[in-house]
Amino acid sequence: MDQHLSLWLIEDNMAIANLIPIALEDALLLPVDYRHFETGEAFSEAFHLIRSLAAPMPSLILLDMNLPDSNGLRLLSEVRQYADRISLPVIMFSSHQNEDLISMSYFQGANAFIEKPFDYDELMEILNGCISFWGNKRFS
Amino acid sequence: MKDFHKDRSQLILIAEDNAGDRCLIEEATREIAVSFQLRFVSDGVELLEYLNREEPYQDDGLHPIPNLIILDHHMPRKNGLETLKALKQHEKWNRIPVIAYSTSQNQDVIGKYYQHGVSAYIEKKTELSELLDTIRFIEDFWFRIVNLPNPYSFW
Repeated sequence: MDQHLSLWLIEDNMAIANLIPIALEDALLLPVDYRHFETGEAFSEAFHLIRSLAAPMPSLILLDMNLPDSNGLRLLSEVRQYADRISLPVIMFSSHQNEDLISMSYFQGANAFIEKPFDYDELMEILNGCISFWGNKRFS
Repeated sequence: MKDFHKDRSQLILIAEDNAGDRCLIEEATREIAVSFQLRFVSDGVELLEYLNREEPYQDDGLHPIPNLIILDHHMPRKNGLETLKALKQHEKWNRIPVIAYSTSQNQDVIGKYYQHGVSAYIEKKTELSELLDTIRFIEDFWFRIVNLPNPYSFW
């Protein structure tokens, strides 16, 4: 690994938010910096703070499609507005799938669209895949 | 989560100019009996012709629009990065996720791909055993976990 992995989750479901650090440890056996934001606003603030400080961006972002105060697609386009940060992998995380949501996510520049896991094993598979493809920005 | 039964209707279109590499990929996908369909074009120009429904790609049944595109980096006429830029500037094709691969692990090259909207970047494998692992991983992740777009929903 070239650098320490960091994962940001924007998700209002606390069960998933609390399970992810456990699953990361179980699935990957490597330290991952994990930050959780419960609202779009909290994420937005952190994102713009990091931008203004020119601090390192996370390795990848898991972004819930439906947040109480915001819409995942709107946050995605906010991230993608900043050309210097467009290389930041953003994976849309949705509790339901429909063709329009999937198509719009890719249109707005999501790296992938993933339906939320049904159980813990699926959560581990998702994290394992995400870290393999984007943890280091390449799969080798 | 998607059903785990194999869905033969999903298609990957790969742009690869090297016939040896194409054969190796075909052989690997045969050995694994992958769940997706696979088509090749020989470079970026041909890929755009395919999507544009130009000769000889007019027949939608024979040449379906892919759910996922894979680009080799080094190609004549239009390399992977140039092809990616053309795809991401297009109002329809920019909805199809693109994976790029190359033997180059140059961070500047990888960064450029991400800046231009690649979904993922993978290292090119030339050994069959390694390629099998990569293809298994692509299938497990991109066809079982990820939801790919239905290109006919916006075509």
